[in-house]
Order: sequence, then C-alpha cells, then structure tokens
Amino acid sequence: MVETSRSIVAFLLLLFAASAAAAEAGIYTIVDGDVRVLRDTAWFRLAPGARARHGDIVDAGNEYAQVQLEWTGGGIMNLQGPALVHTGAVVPADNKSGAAELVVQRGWIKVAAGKRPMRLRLPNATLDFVDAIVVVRGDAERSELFVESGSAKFIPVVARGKAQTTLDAKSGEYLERSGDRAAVAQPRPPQAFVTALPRQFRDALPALAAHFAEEPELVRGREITLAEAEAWLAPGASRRTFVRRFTPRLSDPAFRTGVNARITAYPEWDRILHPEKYRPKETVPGK
Amino acid sequence: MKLIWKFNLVLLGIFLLGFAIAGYVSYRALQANAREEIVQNARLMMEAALASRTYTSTQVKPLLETQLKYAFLPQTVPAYAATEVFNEMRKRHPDYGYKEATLNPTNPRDRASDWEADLVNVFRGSQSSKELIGERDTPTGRTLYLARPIDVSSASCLVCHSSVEVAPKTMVDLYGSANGFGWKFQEVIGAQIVSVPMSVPITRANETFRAFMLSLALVFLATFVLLNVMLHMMVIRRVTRLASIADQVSLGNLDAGDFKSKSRDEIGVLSEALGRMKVSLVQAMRMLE
Repeated sequence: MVETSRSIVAFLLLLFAASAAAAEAGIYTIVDGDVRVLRDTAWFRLAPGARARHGDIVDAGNEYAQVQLEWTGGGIMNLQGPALVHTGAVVPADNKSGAAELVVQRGWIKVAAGKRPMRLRLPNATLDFVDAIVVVRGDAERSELFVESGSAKFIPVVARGKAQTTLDAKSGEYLERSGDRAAVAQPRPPQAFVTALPRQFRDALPALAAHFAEEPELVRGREITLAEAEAWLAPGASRRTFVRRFTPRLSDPAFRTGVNARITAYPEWDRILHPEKYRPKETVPGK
Repeated sequence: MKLIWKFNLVLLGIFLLGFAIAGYVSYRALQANAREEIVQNARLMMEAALASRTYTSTQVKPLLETQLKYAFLPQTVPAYAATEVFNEMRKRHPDYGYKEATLNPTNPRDRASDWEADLVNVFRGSQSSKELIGERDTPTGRTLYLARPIDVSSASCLVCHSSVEVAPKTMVDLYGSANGFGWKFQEVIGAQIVSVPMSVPITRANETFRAFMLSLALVFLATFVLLNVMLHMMVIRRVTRLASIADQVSLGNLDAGDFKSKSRDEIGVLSEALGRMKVSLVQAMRMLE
C-alpha cells in the first residue's frame, strides 16, 4: 500500500515536472534570418509564433538575424545576431517569485522587463533589474549595459574569495567592463555604442503575441556538436545543468571522441565513459 | 468758335477728367487687391507652418520618444519641422521664406537677424501685438513679411529650454550647452516670419491697370469719334444747310431752296418753321407788290 502511494506520488511529481518543463515560457514573435533554437540536444529552425520552452538556447546566427521573445508573465526580449542566449529558468509555473534568467554568451540584447525581476548573466557580469528597460552588448571579453529606463544593478563576476562590488545604474547611464578589470560607469553611452546599436533597439519593443494564436511546427535539424556545446560546459553556474543535459550526446561517436580528447575538462563524463577508473580497487585479504 | 470745336473741347475735358478719376480709383483698387492677395498668401503659409508644428508635436514626436534616449532627433522639434518643410518648398520657390527667428536659439540657424530682432522686440514690448505686416526691399525685390510672436506657452517647452541640467542629454550632446537655455514661461522668445515676394501680384495688378486704362482710352476715343460724326451728320450739316438757305432768302433769292425736312426732331421742327416763315415772307412780299 505504501509502495503504491509512493509510486503514485512519484508519477505525479514526474508529470508535474514534465508539464513544467514543457510549459510555455512565452512566444517568439519576431524571427528574422538565420535563427535556430536548441531543445534538449537537437537544433530546430525557429519560426515566428513558436512557443518558448524552459531551457531554450537561441542562436541568432549572423548580423541579419533578429529574434524577439515575449514572455507569458510579461516582458519582452529582442536579440540581434550574431547572438547566443540561454533563456534559462523562465518558467512561470515554477518560478513565480524568483527572477527570470537569461544567460548571454554573446550578442546585442534589449530587455523590457515587467514586474517580475530579471537576471542577465554575461561572461564577466550579472545584471539584475525589475520594471526597467536595458540594452546589453556582451561577448567573452566585454560587457556593456545601457539603462534606457528604470534602474539596474551591475554585478561584476569575480574570482572566488574576491570582494564583489555592485554598481547601481540609473536611467540614461552606461556601464562597461572589459575582462576582469573594474567596471566603468558613464552618464551617457559613448557614440560608438550608439552608432553600433541595432536600429530596432532605438524604438520601443512592440508587443505582438496576440498575432500568434497557432503554434507552428518547427523543423528539426541535427544534434548539437561538442564545439557548440563547449560554451555551455565552461566553468560557471550553469555547467552542471548542461552536463546533465548533454550527457545523452555521449552516444554519438564523434561527440564521444571529442570529449575523450579533452577528458580532463569533463570529469563528470570521465566517470561515464571510463567507469573502470572509478571502480573500487579489490583488496586481497591477508596481503 | 465753331460749335463742333466747343463740343469737342467740352467732351475732351470730360473724358480727361473721367479718365484720370477712373485711373486713380482703379489703380488704388488693384494695388490694394494685390496687397491683400499677398497678405492672404502669407497667412496661408503661416497656417501651413503652424499645422506642420502641430503635426510634429502631436503625431511624430510621440513615436520617437524611445529613439530620443539614444540620439537627439531634430525632426521631433516643431520649429525644425516647419522650417524644413518650407525649405523643401523653397527649392522651387526661392523667393518665399519662413523662419522662426529667435533671440536665443538652440539651433544657430534660427538666430534672429537685425531686422528680425526688431520685430521680436516689438512683440516683447507689446503683449497685445499679435501680428505685424510690413514690406522690405531684398536683393530679389520687394517682399512682404508677416510676423507672429513665438512665446513659451507650454511647460513642455521648458523641458529643453530652461536649463542644461533639465534638458535631454542627447540634445545637449548635439547642440552644446551655450545656447537656447534660460527661457521663461510666457516669455516672447522669437517670431515666426513668413516672407512673400510682392513682384508677381504687383506686376499682375499693373498689367491689369494698363489693360483697363488702354481699354478705357479706346472706348473714349471711339465715343469721341462717333459723337463727332453724329453731331456733324445730325446737327451741323443740317443747320449749315438751313443757314445757307435762310441766308439766300434774306438776300432776296426766294427760290434758294426748300426748308423741308423728313425728320421730326428739333432740326426738323426748325426746318418746318423756317419753311412756314419763308412762305409767309413770300406772300407778304407779293402783297406789297
């Protein structure tokens, strides 16, 4: 009887988790150019009207690519390629009080956040804001933030043990951090930033979700390669999540070969690929 | 002096007087109409400028509010929009002009010249003065100007023009911090000035005047000639004939001619009377014999 109850509870939890995972986070309302989305370990060609899912990784391939995501709970994000963004924990069902997270590997992104707190993770900085509009340009070496309206907190990513200084940016202010140097704040964005700004970022992001009642069928592409996955497997807060997510790819010989070639960088997979290393050694009694 | 000369002298005098009066009245009327036409053109241009300003502030600027956070767009400024619209028109009609002449402008091209500053100061000195119309000579000819005051009638104007600290930073980036600040609410800070060339309507009025006077002169001339012909045919020639016959009769030539006349007008009545008089005279002469 107890075993049956436990099974039922486990099944319900699984069902809840599955539904949460599949719950719509929002709608991709603008898709221009070469844009794909990674779901689990497969790339799909993104199309306007597609529903955003928890864990989507959006790749806007080149400078002509543009993506806009409108979240179900409010807020709009617009990406200008080339850009790579993990939409993270943007699941209304299980994240009612927490911040919605975006992990930005590179690219231009404009976010109009509603009442729900928003967190953007860049390679060398984290941004926290609510009810604000921010424009961010980031890559592996540099992060730039312009607060179009509202305010934001700019938190430089520092090595463990070092003091972390949070900077407050008000409406109209610009912050920039290169590498691990100190962040620099300016009252106005530099002309180079304004000149390079994607044209559509100069206007308010339009709300278009009402135009997409039907969800299109996305065309499935190939599986993610190790080269593409490496950006998400780098040391950081999300590494563990992605190690778990990409583990099924070890069944691909090419993926496995690549992992083996740099196995020291993937200790979690070393246990899976080379379990013999981790078997307890047999001891002979008496010797 | 012969009757026809007296008649012609009087007629000529009347014609000349009438010609002069008609010329004076028509010239004044045509010039006034031409000026009124120019003023109406200027008013129409002024209303078009005001419409451009209103369209810009109510329809264009709200659409570009977000863009203004990144770069100042002069296209959102009503004065700039009105001026640019007229600059487009001036490419084909260079004699027309529009300027929002300001004593302390943000954009240096709007700074008032000497005569424009005089107009602005008239408006600043007199609250009741809402419009000024005048004429001035320019290299392209005589020009009529119509000016209306620009005052800081809305608090929204002071967002950009009160102090550098309050003004949009993007505007200060573009124009600097030296000009266009310190304006006060309800202060007259400049004038909208429309300039319209006077040459075309005035030329047209002068041509109309010449045509009218020429027509009048021709009419007078034709009337003069016709009257002379009629006077000669209907009066002078007939009276001359009557006088000649009466003269012959007075000299004893009773067979000189006949006073009969077919017409019943005054000359005809005179002819009849003279004829009866001749008959009476002949009878009297016979009785005396």
